[in-house]
Amino acid sequence: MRKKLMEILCCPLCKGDLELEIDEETEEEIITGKLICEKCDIIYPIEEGIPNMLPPELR
Amino acid sequence: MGVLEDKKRARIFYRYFSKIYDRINPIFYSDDMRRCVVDMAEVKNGDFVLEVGCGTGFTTYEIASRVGEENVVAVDLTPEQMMKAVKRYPSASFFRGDAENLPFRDSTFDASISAGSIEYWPNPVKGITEMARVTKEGGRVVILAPRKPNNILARKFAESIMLFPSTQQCVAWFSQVGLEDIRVVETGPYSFWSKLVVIISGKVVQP
Repeated sequence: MRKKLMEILCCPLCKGDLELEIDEETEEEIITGKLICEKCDIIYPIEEGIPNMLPPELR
Repeated sequence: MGVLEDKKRARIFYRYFSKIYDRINPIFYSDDMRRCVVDMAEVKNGDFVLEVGCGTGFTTYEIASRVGEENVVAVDLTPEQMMKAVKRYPSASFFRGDAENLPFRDSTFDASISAGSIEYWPNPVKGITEMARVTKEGGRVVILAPRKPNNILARKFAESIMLFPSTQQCVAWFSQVGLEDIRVVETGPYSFWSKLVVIISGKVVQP
């Protein structure tokens, strides 16, 4: 995922802000990491550059 | 409810169907049809466009050719389908996500397009509402849906598999969501199958 896309992302459920934790990155892209919604207490994983933004019951 | 009108079942179906999907899909979805879908979104080079339910990337190709690959954001439920699109369009951005719970901020995109995905949405109005929410004022929401067949036996069979809305139903949903300047095209891949799908486009206005 390109880093600048953080600007357009929100939690799919509450539409609130997400916090980003990066495990692996390049200059422009996040390869592995997590997007966290503190309000909903949900972690959306980023794997192989693709964020999984599915609500937990659909994963 | 049709058997595939459930996201988990649709995902399992596509996990296997994915292997032959690219050979089967062009039978039902022609190049002209995908051009019509993107025409109805009224996008131009440089526009930032969302595609909901990109599958293996058949419509993604047409969107990318109009706005530039790097300006396409695509969402799909099924990783097996989406990985093909990811390989084909490495500069586009891909997210696993649910049409009815889009992970994007309000008024993000110049247009939102979804071709051949609404038939799997248990709550189509919620999905259309989400597409309208993430689209900027003046931008268009475009959906291609398989049309409810006129023949009663074909209709019963179709409805046992998934959702086949009528054209009137699609217009009603778009109006309910508050989209304006609604335009509809009924089309198909062949002259003998000329009303297989409905493509519907509505403009986002300020609430």
